[in-house]
Amino acid sequence: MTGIELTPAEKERAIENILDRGLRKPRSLWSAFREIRRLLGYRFIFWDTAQAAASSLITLAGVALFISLSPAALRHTVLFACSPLLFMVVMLFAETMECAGGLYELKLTCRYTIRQITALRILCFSLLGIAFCAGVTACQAENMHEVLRLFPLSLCALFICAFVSLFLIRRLAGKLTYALAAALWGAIACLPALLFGKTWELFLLGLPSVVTAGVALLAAALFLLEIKKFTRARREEAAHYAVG
Amino acid sequence: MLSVNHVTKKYGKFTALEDITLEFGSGVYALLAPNGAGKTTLIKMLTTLIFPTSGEILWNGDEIVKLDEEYRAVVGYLPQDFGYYRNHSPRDFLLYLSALKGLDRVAAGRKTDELLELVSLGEARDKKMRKFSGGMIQRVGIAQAMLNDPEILILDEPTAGLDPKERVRFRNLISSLSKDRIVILSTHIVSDIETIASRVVMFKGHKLLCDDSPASVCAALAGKVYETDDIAAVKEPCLTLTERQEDGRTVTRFASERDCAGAARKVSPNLEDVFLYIYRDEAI
Repeated sequence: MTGIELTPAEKERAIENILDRGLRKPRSLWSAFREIRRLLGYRFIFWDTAQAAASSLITLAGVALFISLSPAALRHTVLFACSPLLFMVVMLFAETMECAGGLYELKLTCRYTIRQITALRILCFSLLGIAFCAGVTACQAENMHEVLRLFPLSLCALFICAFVSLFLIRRLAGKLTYALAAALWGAIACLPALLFGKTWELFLLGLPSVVTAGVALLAAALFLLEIKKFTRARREEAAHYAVG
Repeated sequence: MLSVNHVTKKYGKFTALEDITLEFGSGVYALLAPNGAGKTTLIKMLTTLIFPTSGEILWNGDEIVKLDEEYRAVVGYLPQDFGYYRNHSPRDFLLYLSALKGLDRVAAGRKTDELLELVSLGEARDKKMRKFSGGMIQRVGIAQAMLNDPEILILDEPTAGLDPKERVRFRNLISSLSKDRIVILSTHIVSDIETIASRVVMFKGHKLLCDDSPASVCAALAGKVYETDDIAAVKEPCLTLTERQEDGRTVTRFASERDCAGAARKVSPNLEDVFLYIYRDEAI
């Protein structure tokens, strides 16, 4: 009995077909997030974050007061420094409490790990941050032209902060990393103002909207890339929680 | 089948576990060793919280780290320090963890109620956990570990802080859960596992010392354990294991490599004797 003869091309296709069926394709970030959102719902994604939300609101009340009292001559400096604050404060409170809670280790062993959920939360916080930026811009701008100039600057600050924070958090895993990220943003936002004073304000004022929008888009893309890496960081061991 | 093949775990220059090879099939496996011997390190590797420095851990032939969520879906884990949400009821808490474990809402609700009944918390299911005793919290911990009906149930020092009655209840529960699944239980309390373990795994000097049935482990000390109420009469070198009061007398249980039959009564060794004998030089 003779077998069916296959041409090399047919053989190649057959192998590809078998591999295609046999190998599991890695899920995309969005499909993973969709699945988590479907199964967990927002109630469980933001489970036990009420205390963090309350702490954030109190902090933001202070920030709002600071913005309203800040001199008009430092409008851009204040806008740049304060735009990421909602994102930063919510993330700081929610995730620091999560890491400090006794369940972090257990949640790393579940099918959907706390790292994946944290990534989804951070993404949600950034959306909240965009809304906050819009609000801050609306408060600062005097006309539509200013809105179009200030909003990209505000988003630029938000996404630079989000990218830098996540970059740091992903590399320096630990219980105080979120606090470190917040401190780093404080340094990034305040140091130029302290060192260069009016020059920094003039620099921000002189930045064309197209530049700030471009930087905002680039930083947003880098932030999303960091989110993706953060969810895949499963393969990096959680020794600092597990052992320490 | 869960296989640990030549696994070593190092933290810098410190070797926490060295060249460990083990195979786990259905049954209760007791990791019995003093604190600091490497039990928790092994458990954390089995739960993919930390990874071996060398060697591999396989689940049905595939590396557990590569299996990723597929492996985590078959694991139930109760950590040593089991945190919980004080302001939530056990039912809410279990529903939350069911979601993290990928159970759909209907199945999660059914499983949660079923498990709360199993751990005798059915009546307290809607009460806030802040009012719960240590034993009740530990039972919530067991219930959460069972939510995904795991093929591998890993319990790290599960009886720490439980009173004697709770310990007995816990042992019975583990025994009933061990059918058709791997139960890996880490403890330094011998009585926790004496009656329920199908195999005892012991570590010494961060290496595997034995992996055998409790009877075989005890047999290692056969003929070397004695009891007497007059220890002063024993002239041979010996290691005191335990002392107890009996009818106003102090009965000393000891182990000796020499024949002491003239001065003391030979008794069958138990796991506690073996444990005390093996770890005689270590703080337990």
